[in-house]
Amino acid sequence: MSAIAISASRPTKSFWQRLGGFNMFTGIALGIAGWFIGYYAIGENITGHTLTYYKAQAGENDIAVCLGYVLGVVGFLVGMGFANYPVRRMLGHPPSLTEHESEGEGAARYFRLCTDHKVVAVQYLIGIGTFFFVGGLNAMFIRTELLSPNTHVFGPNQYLTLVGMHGSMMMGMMTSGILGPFANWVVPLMIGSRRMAFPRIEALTFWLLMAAGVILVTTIFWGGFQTGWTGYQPLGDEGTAGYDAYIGFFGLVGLSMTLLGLNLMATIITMRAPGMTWSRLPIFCWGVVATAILMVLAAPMLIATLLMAGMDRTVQTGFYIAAIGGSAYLFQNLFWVFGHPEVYILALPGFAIVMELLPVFTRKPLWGYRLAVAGLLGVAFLSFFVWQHHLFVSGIDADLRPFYMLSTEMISLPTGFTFLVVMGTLWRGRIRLTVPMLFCVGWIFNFLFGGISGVFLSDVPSDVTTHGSFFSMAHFHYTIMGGLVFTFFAAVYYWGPKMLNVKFDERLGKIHFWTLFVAFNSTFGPLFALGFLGMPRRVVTYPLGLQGLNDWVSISAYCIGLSMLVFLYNVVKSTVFTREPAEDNPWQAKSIEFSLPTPVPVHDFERLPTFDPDPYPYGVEPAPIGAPVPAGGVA
Amino acid sequence: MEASAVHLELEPEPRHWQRRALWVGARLWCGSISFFFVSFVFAYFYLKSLDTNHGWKIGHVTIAAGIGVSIAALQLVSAVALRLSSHRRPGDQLAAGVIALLMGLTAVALQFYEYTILNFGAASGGYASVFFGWTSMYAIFELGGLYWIETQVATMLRARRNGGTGVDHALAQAGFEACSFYWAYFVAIGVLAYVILYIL
Repeated sequence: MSAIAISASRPTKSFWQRLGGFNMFTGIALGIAGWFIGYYAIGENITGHTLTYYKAQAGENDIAVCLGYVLGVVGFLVGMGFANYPVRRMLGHPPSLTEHESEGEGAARYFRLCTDHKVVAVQYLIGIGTFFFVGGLNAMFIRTELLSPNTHVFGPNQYLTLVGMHGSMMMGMMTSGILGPFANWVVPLMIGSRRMAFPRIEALTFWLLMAAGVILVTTIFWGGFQTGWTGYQPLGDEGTAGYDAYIGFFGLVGLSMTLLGLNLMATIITMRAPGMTWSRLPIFCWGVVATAILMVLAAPMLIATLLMAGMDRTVQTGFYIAAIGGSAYLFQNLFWVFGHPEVYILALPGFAIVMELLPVFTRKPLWGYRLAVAGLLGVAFLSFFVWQHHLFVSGIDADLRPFYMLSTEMISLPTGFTFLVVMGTLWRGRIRLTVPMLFCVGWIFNFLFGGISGVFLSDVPSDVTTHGSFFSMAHFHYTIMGGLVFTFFAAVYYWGPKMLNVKFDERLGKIHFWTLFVAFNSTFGPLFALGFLGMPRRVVTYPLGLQGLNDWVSISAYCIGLSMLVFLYNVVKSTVFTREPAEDNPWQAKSIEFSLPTPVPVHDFERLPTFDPDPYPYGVEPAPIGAPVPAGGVA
Repeated sequence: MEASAVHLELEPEPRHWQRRALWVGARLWCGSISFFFVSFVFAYFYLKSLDTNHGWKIGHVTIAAGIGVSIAALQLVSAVALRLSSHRRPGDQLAAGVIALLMGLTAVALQFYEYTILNFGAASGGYASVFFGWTSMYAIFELGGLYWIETQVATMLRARRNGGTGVDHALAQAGFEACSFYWAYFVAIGVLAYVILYIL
């Protein structure tokens, strides 16, 4: 095997010279230009207003709006440089894999198309983090509105838009909340590869997501959308152009998810270094595989579902319009065929992170490795057979209900495997309550409540009773926020120092955890009670007798906001002010990424590692984990 | 821009990785598009069985059967030509690629021509919605597939012009195989569309 030489070049261009060319700023400029061309130059000239069933009298031009968004995104991607390689390929140039990976590119790499998986991961971390805070801010506004049943800060329409934006932002952007930053960063390292299988697609998934986030925010210019994150029909087809933004947002999210999942699966299947057999794959990678299966298969259905809605609103089809042969229930079915796997797209990476981190902080091998894999794959498989439990009160055939009730309850079995593995790993471990470990323990507590309330909700009688109430809202916040967000932070504190080459303040991290844990339970625990007392979701007012509980919840929600500010302060302090470099292996972990120097070199390994033992040799001395040779150094 | 003195000797990754990635990626993408078009299959049977307000077909809805057969036939020929040549010499692949490209483009053109001669519009009931939605999305995906074929053809043409220098033949072969597999699978979905939309 011959060696290849790579060189790191240092650009000597001035700041203004570097501002030109293909980068984020050019992308934004061309994106805006594309929007104007799509909306005014083309859309307005096709028709003055949309002629679809609901819009004929409204005078609204959804064709122009949709064209504006489409050309805006195209312009943005062209400006970012995503069209260059496809054009080169059209002209017959041979394939290449890398762009802007040189260390000499410096911070500019983060503002352009870069194919280094570590750069894309950091882009994800910051980009998704930003939209996560926007979504969180919406939640604060929602709780402010609900401080009083009668005095309104926002109108009903604005309130619904806030609820919809919060839900969409969290359910859309956070689907890649763990896979985007952490899987992109750590999976290639864990399997002994220097890159993802399709590096440009990896970069594309991130920038598509950023375009999607911006499109969602623009919904406020069109009067918002009143459907909530589920976008139900016929409210969607009847909605203002804000619903077009919703379609554009989730459509791009779906595309990003599909490509991200495909890329991760292709990477893990094909690019494992010698010795990294399936039975030695770290459990985090198994979690990524299980999640990626769902992304690759379920997300395209979301795209198709939304395209149908878009066609109803622009080219006069009637998929969801009963008056012309369509059905609003078609949307519900299609949406939830995607929507329920989507829940596990959010939850499974959290399972995997907890199981990956526990051996490190208990100094024990993962208990029940095969059981854990079976649990992850079992959840992924079963999640395709449960969607109709979302339609229990939508008039489905009563004979269908028991099947979907049982299939939903069956998911608790593979989920139970995960809990067994977690308990088995904790049992008699030498537990170190570091910040990442605290968040893992928080997950165990939260997800237990979320999971048990989910089993309760899967029963038809209890589902019919609590459907559309704050009870179901409490359930999914316990699973998604209690599951995903807590493990997201576990991963941030665990891999963040390695990724960003800074040491986080441990004390602030613990303050962040405890305030978040207490405030989270104080916020969402009472929502179970509010749901039982009959408080419906997405309604701006409520009976006076429920004000006490609502005020308690709102104040607790503000405390969640404060705990997030502690986190933000910790991050800014560590990355901007103190900038204390991170150690190579702050957790004494035995996984391969921590055997590399910090910061991890651009090309990760000088020689590809080989893997011999099992991935969790804790309690076994000496630890004979794979022996990578990092670029420029000796392991 | 000046190059710095930083030079690293890196062990290259195994050459078969990228070839296998193409193989796997093409098959995974087939899985994705399957679920995409399953949505339209589901919509077809769901709306047909519901027949909401007797709106499955509103008014006189007659499909242009001849054009449908032509589109399916063109696609089939292009897929068979491409797939059969996937393990042959680059010269055969080039000819097959050009044929597939021309057939595919003709099929797309015929699809858009069909829209102009139909005696019904998108608002003519559930069937019309599914027909326009499915076929238009299929045509857009088809253009994407044709782009992929075009890159294979262009790569072979350039390689021929350069006398084959600077080309990783094994990788090019893997790319052609992945492309032809995807195209064959995609055309199978097109044939399914023809059966459902024109025959059932």
